[in-house]
Amino acid sequence: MTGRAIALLASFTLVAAVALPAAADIDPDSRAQAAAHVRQGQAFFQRGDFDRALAEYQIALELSAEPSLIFDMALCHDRANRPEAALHAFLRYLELAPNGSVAEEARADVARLAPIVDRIAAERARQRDAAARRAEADHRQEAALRQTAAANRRARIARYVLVAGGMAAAGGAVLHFVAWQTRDRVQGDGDPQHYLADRDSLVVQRDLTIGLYAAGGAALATGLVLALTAHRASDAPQLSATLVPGGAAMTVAWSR
Amino acid sequence: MKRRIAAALALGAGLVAACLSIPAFHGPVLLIYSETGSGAAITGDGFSLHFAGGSGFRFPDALRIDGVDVMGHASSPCWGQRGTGFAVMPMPPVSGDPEPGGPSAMTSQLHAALSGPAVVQVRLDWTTRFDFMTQPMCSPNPNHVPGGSSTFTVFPDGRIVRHDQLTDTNPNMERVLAEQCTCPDPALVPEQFHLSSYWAFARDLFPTQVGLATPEDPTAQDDLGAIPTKIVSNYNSICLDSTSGTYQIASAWDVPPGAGPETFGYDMLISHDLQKAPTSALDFSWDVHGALFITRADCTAAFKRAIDYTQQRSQLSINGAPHTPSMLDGMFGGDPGDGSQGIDVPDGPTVLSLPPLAPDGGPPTPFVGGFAVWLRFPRALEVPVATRAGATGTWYVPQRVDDRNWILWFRDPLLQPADTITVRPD
Repeated sequence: MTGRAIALLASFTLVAAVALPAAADIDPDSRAQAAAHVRQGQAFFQRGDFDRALAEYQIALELSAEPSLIFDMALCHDRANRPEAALHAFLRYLELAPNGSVAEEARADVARLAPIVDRIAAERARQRDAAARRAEADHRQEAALRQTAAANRRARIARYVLVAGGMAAAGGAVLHFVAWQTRDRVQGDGDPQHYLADRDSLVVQRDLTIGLYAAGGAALATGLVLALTAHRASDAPQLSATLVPGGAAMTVAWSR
Repeated sequence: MKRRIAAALALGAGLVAACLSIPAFHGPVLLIYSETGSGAAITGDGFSLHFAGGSGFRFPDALRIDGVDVMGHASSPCWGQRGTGFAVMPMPPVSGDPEPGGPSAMTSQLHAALSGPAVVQVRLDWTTRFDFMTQPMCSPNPNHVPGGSSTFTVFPDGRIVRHDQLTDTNPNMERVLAEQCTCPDPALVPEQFHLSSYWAFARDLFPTQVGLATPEDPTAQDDLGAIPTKIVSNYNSICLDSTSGTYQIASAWDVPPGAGPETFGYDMLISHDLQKAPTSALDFSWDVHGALFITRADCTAAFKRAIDYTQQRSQLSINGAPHTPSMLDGMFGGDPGDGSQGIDVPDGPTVLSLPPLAPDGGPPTPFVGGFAVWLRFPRALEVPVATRAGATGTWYVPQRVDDRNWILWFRDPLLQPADTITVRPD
């Protein structure tokens, strides 16, 4: 304990002894209880148990409404290295007792603590900004990762569509070859029965060929569009249909 | 760029569509109709009937069998029959063989109504004016326009059915007399016109010439004799046998009342005609028909075919209803005389057979050769299908007339009522 602390302790013991009886509107029991709590607080304070001292002063304050107890509580905060709470309590004390017995002391403490509290506030603000920047960077990185993953997914889908389209078109080409041979046979059929049988086969093969070509072509076109737009768009695929002369056109792309 | 892409897409789609279009049925080709700069021709197995080209009368001007023209051509006498056509003796004939100084065609249009692959039918429409120079002019009235039409229906078995009609547009009722129309080389002095439809053949190719002595017996044959100049009447069917007997031609006319058949012999040719009763004034009312039969057996076989035609012996039962072939075009379901063609059949199996009994109550007459049936289906067909027990090879050929009308040519004759052919729509 420093010499100043001892001096302060002596002073607020004195304050307690003088000030508590001065409160005329407090009943004697409460005053006695408050004095007991003050004594107990002082004991804790002397042992360096500032939080328990603070609790005792708080009870005494509630029983006596003595402003000097706020000064004592400020000292507890100060000793417990809580400068903001100490500053707040010193200011509160000065507000209630600007001409109190320890007002000068309180002002000196306010002058001492104010820059400290300012530094602490500035440090906290700096930490908050840094945290916010880190969060922003993390968010951006996460979004970039998400976008890359989505783009890869779209590219994969486009590849699947292209492969499927290619397979359908290749199937159409094979069937086209078969149909072409059947057509040669149909042209040479002199027997109507053979002609009709081969013709029926040709009709089926032709329809399948056209269907496969159409599906393959549509899939290839769709896959191409998807592949070209996979790295430039957002997640949602966009399907649009437009009426055109003679039919309808359908387009697929990733929407922006 | 967009246009190029669109053009490429259109081209690709067109190629795919062309590659995968469904070809129409084209059966075996038994007869080919072709038009060339020199005329038109119907070509079958071993024979060809050629029609004259140019601006003259486009009657047949050549009948080639095994590559040899067996048609008779001669330039004299000027009124004589040559090639084929109409003789209007004593004036020059209306024929595919041109006669200098004779009547010329005002119009002459050849039209293939049926162009194969099994039956070819060609129709010739012509008009003329008899304004050639005689003393005085035969027919000076420019409004007097005689004309006619001839239909030739040809079948793969060498049957050529002919239908002749004459018309006379004569608004001023001009009376054309025979003595005004006599051609001069050598001039006849007939008092009457002898109008006839005829076929003329090269005499030297047919050393054997016989006429059918009785209407119904193909073996009853009268030798017409190889006399250089001769007119023999009353044989509605004659047969000419080639030098080596390789082929025969039978000519048959269905003789209407007021007409008679004649066989006309010259140095160069022999013709078989159907002649109208002579008239002093030109009378163009004329509607006759006949047929040629190219056969590769003997004259008896050729006469069987001729008798079958003239006697209308073949009867075909179609779903139980008897039908006789048209004498104008030789087909079952052919033109009965009013231009209507085709036998309506249901949208299901159609059974063709001999009728159980002939019209006289006796057994039905077997067919003597292949036959054609014109069927009209209730809906459009790709091709009708026929079945016949035991039939092999190209025993029938469907020929499309239009979506609903089909002619079916059957190679083999029906011989007994148990022989049935079932025709089904596709």
